Amino acid sequence: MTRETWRSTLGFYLPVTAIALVMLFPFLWMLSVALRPEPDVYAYPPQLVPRVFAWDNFLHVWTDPRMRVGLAFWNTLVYATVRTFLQLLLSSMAAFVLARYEFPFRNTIFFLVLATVMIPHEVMIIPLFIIIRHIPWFGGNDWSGEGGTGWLNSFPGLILPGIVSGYSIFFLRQFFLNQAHELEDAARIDGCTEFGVYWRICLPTAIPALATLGMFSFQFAWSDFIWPLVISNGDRIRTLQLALATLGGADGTQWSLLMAGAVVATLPLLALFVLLQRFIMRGISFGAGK
Amino acid sequence: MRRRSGPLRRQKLVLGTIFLGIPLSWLLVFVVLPIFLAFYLSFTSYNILKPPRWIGLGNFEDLVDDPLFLTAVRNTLVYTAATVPLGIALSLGLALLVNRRLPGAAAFRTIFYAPVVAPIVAVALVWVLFYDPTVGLFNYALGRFGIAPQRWLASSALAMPSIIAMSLWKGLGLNMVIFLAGLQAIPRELYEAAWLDGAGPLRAFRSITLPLLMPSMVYVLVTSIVTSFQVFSQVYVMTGGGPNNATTTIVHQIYRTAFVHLDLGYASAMAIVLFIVLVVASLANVRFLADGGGL
Amino acid sequence: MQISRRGLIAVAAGAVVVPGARAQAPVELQFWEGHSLQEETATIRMIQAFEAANPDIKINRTKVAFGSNFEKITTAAASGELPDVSPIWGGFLPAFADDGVLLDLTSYGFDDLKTQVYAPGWDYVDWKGRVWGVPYAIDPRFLAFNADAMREAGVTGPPATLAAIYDVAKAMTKKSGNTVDRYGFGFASADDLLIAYVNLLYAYGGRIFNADETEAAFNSAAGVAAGELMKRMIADGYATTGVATDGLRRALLTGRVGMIIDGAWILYAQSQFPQKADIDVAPIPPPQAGGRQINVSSVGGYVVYAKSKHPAEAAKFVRFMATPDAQQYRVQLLKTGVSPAVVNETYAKETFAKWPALAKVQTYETDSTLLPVTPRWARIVDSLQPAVEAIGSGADVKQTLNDAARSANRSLRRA
Repeated sequence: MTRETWRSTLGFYLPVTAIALVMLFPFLWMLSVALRPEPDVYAYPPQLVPRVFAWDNFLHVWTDPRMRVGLAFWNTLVYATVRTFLQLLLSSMAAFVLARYEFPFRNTIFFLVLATVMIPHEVMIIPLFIIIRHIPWFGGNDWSGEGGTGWLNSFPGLILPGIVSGYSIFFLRQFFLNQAHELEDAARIDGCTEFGVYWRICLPTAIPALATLGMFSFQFAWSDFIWPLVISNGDRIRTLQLALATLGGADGTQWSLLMAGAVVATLPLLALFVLLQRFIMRGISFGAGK
Repeated sequence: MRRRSGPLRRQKLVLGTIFLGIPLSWLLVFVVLPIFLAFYLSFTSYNILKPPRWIGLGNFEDLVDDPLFLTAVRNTLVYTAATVPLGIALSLGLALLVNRRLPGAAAFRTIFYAPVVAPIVAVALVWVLFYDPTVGLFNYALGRFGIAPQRWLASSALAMPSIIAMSLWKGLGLNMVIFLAGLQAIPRELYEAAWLDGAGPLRAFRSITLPLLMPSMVYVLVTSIVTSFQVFSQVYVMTGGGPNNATTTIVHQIYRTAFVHLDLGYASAMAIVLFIVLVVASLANVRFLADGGGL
Repeated sequence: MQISRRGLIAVAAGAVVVPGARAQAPVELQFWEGHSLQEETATIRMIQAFEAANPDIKINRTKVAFGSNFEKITTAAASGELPDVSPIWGGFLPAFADDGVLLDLTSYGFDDLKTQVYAPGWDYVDWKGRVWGVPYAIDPRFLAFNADAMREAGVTGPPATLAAIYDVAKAMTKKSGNTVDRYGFGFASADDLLIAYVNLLYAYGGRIFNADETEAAFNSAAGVAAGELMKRMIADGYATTGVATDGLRRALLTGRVGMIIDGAWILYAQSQFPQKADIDVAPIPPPQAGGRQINVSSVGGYVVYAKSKHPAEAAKFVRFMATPDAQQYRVQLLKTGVSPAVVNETYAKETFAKWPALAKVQTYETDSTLLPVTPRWARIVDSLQPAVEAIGSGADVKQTLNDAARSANRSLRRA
């Protein structure tokens, strides 16, 4: 290697390795606390490598009958997966029309959709809860939404309010706008139906964007706390974040178990990202970069 | 749309109605309706337990000289003013750094992106351990250099910077990827031409990279402003708004007013103010975006 | 002994049950539990004891996450989806009572309970002259100190006056060069810092509100004295502050901090601590030696919701939860019982014998006063907590408290 390439190689690997350590360090610490016996959590001086490895923290977090983490894990998986899938479907339908068809008030509709992103979630929780309680014909409700509990404490109540969002429509519309439509026009000339254009041409080319948005949506549902909290009673649809919340309280936080739980909650997201990362890098580039 | 044949138009009309109708009606019921309810509630006194009572502009009148709300607005502005430019500068730097075809570059990109996917509550708790004034890692590290221990999250001077540092760590990866995408779309020939013209790397950056990166820049700017104006989880987990209100933010106040004071009318009024500010800011940005040729 | 007591309660409470409401199949009560894992253990035992004595009532315990600010109950109340019974704490009991969410238990024959539980417990559930629940947890705050550290510092005993807190903290502080090995005193952060301040405020004879709760009264001479004591200890390097409660308890156990203000939770922390630590407790002292001591207590209650279809059975259940028979299971987990008679119960006796410090804490409930939790309390917190934090970092006490009182008064007008 020449001196020039040596310098540029060094100029790359030195800083990125240093930054990578900084970015990874909190994860390593999370793992480290998760592997300590509870009394060592506050060990001073702080140590990254535990004095003794308490592998059974992970066992405890899974097997403690009071938390039922296994069930919570499954519930969270259902919540995140179904929500993501439906969101991709519905948002891509709306985005396809908003990006490809000409019709009156198109931009106004688009902007109104986008504006829904600007209101903080916290203020919508109680109105949304009241709506979910009054869904007609569900949970013992009559046609007017009275008499029962609607979608409360059910998977529809947990999942369905979040399956369309202003952001997801916005993101996919940007992507479609940046895609050339020659292919679609050619397909139309060949007699392809409009649904075919959407399903066979538009969606397959949008896989990177769908993967990206899917990741965002999955991650949101996986980490969501307040909505599962208000909508669920008991274990039936209880999610991971709620199960982990029982580890803190007036008697003190059980840090080592909490961090073991946090590792359990973080790993699937990291794994999913590593799996999808090729698509995600491309998806973001078309959705936002151009 | 070169062909304007009848059947195709009818097909488009049917498909367009269904494809737009289902998602939009869904959005109407589960997003727009709650927003309208919040709008309505902002003109009422509503404690969640008793039916709302119309009080006109009363909430908004109280809001303009509510010192706590003004503190929250100021803190939110400080948070935004720090995280947005710093976040953009650092993530752009990161993107420039990893925009190479060297072995391992992809792995590094993944590592830089990892904090983005981690659940915020879990990682915020790790940072709380770092910031612990007596047994935390940061004070231990400072001690090794002979620097006196700091009170971090417990100090009204350092609490906000501490939250900002954590938020930057959490969010850099996302913006980095967006910039990276923008960088990769810039044709290499432009740089070669500039190099032949005798332009140094700094001038190439100023006259080629920055202008061509504008669409990414605007996108990052808009989304960063919207998310940083709505900052909540970090504050809730790490400081609860303290000490001495140094870290309370608009959404944190909305949350407390709604669920602790049971004053949902007032909380809604705060949300409406935030909504209007964000819509105006985004409209301005979208105009900018349109001028820049992005939309 | 236990069986006969249960029998007695069943007979006594049975008299209340409306004839005809008693069906063949057991009545099922929906009960929401929102506690930590530790506390849940006690609740399960209490429910088992109740069901054993009342085979005609079944308690369907559902675990819900309450959220740190009771969001779960509030949201459920917004659309009437509440259980029959749940625990409640803070200003939510009076707020819910005012708005008709709770069942008024006044006519369910709870009058005798009033004499059987400690005053702060009853003060909590008694709102505007009506009874809205039963207390199940009274947590008086007190001084907890590391007795080894105190001996090492040559201090003979816990401070006997408020001013002596400063002297003891000074004596217990240990420095080597520039680093502090031990702070004589430790103040927590956030709400627990506020509670510590409120304790000092009450000990100096101060109050939070004026009589009708329309105005803040913490900017009195007593409030300033409490603030000055706190500020001086911190400024002079004898107290640390801003430590999260978990960390502070730990610091006391390891001897990095000499004294803290805490509740019985410190004893639970001690039981979980792997090394030996000699923790002892003392009341928060009065301004002059021999004066009347005041410990501030927070209280948790069980309430019956107004929409309950089985009010009589629910009343019977919550009533049971306050009896010594049920409370002994809480004592087992190193908590205090809500009535003096709990000391006669089997499990409580055992626990108190093993934990003399807990036995002392139990007696503090006698001289204890209820933390002024009303619907207006949360508004006071929003002004007073930042002020106390500011005082901790050296702000002018009098001016800070006056400013806080002004902002509290402004907020109280909205309530």
